[in-house]
Amino acid sequence: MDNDAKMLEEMGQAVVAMQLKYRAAPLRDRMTLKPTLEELLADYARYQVKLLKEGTISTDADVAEAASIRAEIEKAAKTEALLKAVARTVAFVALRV
Amino acid sequence: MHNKSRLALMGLCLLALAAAGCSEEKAKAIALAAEDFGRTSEEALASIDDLFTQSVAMPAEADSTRVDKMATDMADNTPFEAAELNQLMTEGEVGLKARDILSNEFDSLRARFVEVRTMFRTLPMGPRLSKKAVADSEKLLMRLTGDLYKMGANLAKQPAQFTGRRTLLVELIQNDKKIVDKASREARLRADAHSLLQLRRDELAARTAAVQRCYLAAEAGRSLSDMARHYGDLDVQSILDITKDSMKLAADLTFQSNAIDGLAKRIEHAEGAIRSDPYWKVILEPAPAR
Repeated sequence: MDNDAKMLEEMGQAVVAMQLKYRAAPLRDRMTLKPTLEELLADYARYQVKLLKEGTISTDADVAEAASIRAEIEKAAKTEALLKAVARTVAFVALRV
Repeated sequence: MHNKSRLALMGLCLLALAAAGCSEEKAKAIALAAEDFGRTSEEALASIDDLFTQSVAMPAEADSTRVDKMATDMADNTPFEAAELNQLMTEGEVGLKARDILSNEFDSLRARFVEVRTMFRTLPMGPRLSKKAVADSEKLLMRLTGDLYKMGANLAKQPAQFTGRRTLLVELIQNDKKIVDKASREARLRADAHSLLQLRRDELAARTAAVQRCYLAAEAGRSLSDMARHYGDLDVQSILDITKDSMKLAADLTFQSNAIDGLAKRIEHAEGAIRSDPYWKVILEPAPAR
């Protein structure tokens, strides 16, 4: 599996982790998280399109960063921590698409 | 349309054209090949669009499930105002931004292929005019063919995750793990394991189908590009034979192979062949501007 495939695996798992947290959150927290979740899904879409058109774009450091963000989303117990983790993803993808 | 049905229908058209056999028929024959290229490339783009859309989808839920959750939300002790109402009313729209991004991307990709289809549909039927129009289309055809090989090769390496369905499955497993009765819990978890395997098969099948369609469209594009290049020297029968070969590949591939690794190798081989061909290389990899 090359770095791009690893990146997509990590990002896909981050999206699933975020969807799980969002859906389990109380109404007020979901209101706060909704724009961030939208942005994460949008970034995942942009990243896939970029890979489709260009092929190789991910480095070892990218894969390590994506894995670290995914782990942060999974362990985030509070809304603020989740927002912070996803903000890292959004900033990370913005530099690459 | 199913590949076999398409092959049968196109076969009838090809026979009719072969029987006619004059220069107007030659233009019609290449227009028919262009139709096939247009259709296969449209199918390829639709498959990728669908694959990516499923990867950014939120879990799909029945209204009854949503109603249960809304009732729980409303029963909460916190105040319920206009913003809370709006949140509940619009939760089904989460993911709209991602879907818009994909729609825009695929619409602009599709537009380039529609251009080719339109170009050939309006092909002038006079021998000299049609020869010029076909020659004018050649470079665009070659670039689109190169793009299709590239997308197929890239897609073969891109793992697909249907995130909405994965999320639902995780929730299901988390709930089933809590069942107290051992026999019921084990039965439910076995059912979940089957769902897990099915989801994996569905993800792989959707990706394989998209890669396969890219490959078929690229092969149709390569045949059409070659026809455009040698249009002046080809007779009607030769054009029809090339078109038939291209469509036969589609029918054979559907029933002989659907493995992604095999497809990736075919694409790699075909793409390598055109990129190392000096004639194609000039078009696909133009020298950087000074």
